[in-house]
Amino acid sequence: MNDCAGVWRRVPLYLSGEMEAEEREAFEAHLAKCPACAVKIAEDRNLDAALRSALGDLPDASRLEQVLRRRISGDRKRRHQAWAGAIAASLMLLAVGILAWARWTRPPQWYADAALDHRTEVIEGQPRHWRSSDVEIAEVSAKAGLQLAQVTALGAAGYRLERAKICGIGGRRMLHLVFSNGTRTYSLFVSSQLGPAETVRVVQRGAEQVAGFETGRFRGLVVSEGSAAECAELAYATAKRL
Amino acid sequence: MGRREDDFERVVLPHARSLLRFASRLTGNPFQADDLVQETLLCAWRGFRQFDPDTNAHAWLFRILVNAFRQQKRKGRTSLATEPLAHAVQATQPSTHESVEVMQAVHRLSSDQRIVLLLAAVEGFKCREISEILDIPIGTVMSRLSRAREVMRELLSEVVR
Repeated sequence: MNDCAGVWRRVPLYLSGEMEAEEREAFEAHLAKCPACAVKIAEDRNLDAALRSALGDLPDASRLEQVLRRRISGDRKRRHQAWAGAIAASLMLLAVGILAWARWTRPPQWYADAALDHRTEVIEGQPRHWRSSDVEIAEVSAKAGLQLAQVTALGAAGYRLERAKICGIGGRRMLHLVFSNGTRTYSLFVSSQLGPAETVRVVQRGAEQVAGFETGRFRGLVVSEGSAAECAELAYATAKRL
Repeated sequence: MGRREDDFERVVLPHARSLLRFASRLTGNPFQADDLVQETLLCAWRGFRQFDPDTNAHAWLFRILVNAFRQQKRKGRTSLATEPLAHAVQATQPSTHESVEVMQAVHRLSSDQRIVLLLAAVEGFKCREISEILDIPIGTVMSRLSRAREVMRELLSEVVR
């Protein structure tokens, strides 16, 4: 290493002790025969020593540490509060979501009542006071605002009206009609439209499918043991005839 | 105190004094230095979960401090201590005639030169560590350091000879 400019570029590494042994030996060999470089190196060493002497005292940081501990404590509290707030808001949203979902997906009580009536009174045949003659059916149908000809025409193609009675479904009086084609039977519950309109949908209650429908004047439920699509089709056909 | 606080106290707080020394020499303003170190240590606290204990905490903290200093400089902040320490002037500023002369000379350097010179000569960092702290090539560190020493030699000719 004979070039003074090259030596100067490497001085910081020499002073910080980062030079490899081989390079350091070459560097020091140059200093030994170059007084100008040796003087500059000495001046840099003196400069660093002067800087350490003048500026090297360590200040007392105890007050700063106390302030920092207070700020960290405050920072932690703020973060915990922010987290707690975020968690509370999330739980609130979740609860509202669950309630809304439950409200939306839960079928109205009258669906469940209709399915139960069909199960116990039609499928299981528990004794009830059914009307099966035309006169009796006309009489109970009139209570639902329907005439005999109308109710007999409500049955799906191939189905005949077997019997009828008035029953309580979801707290309202409904006309329960039972239609049969000899092998399959379904129930139709009809009442005058009273309250606000409800979404028409099909839900499964046990083995039964329950399809709700409504027209301008009537609302009804079809209960059958077929598929949801078949039940919905029965409800749709009935609604068209009403 | 939780384990995180214990580790923070053990790993980080022992560096508070050298951070405060560096910040006060760098800014020349004890209030700004105090503010800078508070911000550095708070930033370190927030990032402490990600800190790898096998790495150099000293260099990591100085890196945070230099970044905070540059950020404050960009925003034109001078003295923004949130909780100024009345004793800081006496505690952190040089008092002898020679010290004042050296400090004044240091502040005639550009901030880039001042940073590398203080890190190397006062804080004892190696060129490679300074390169990592400042995220610049080691060649740039060496040239800034050489230039800073050259300027200082001219300013303090009586002191260095």
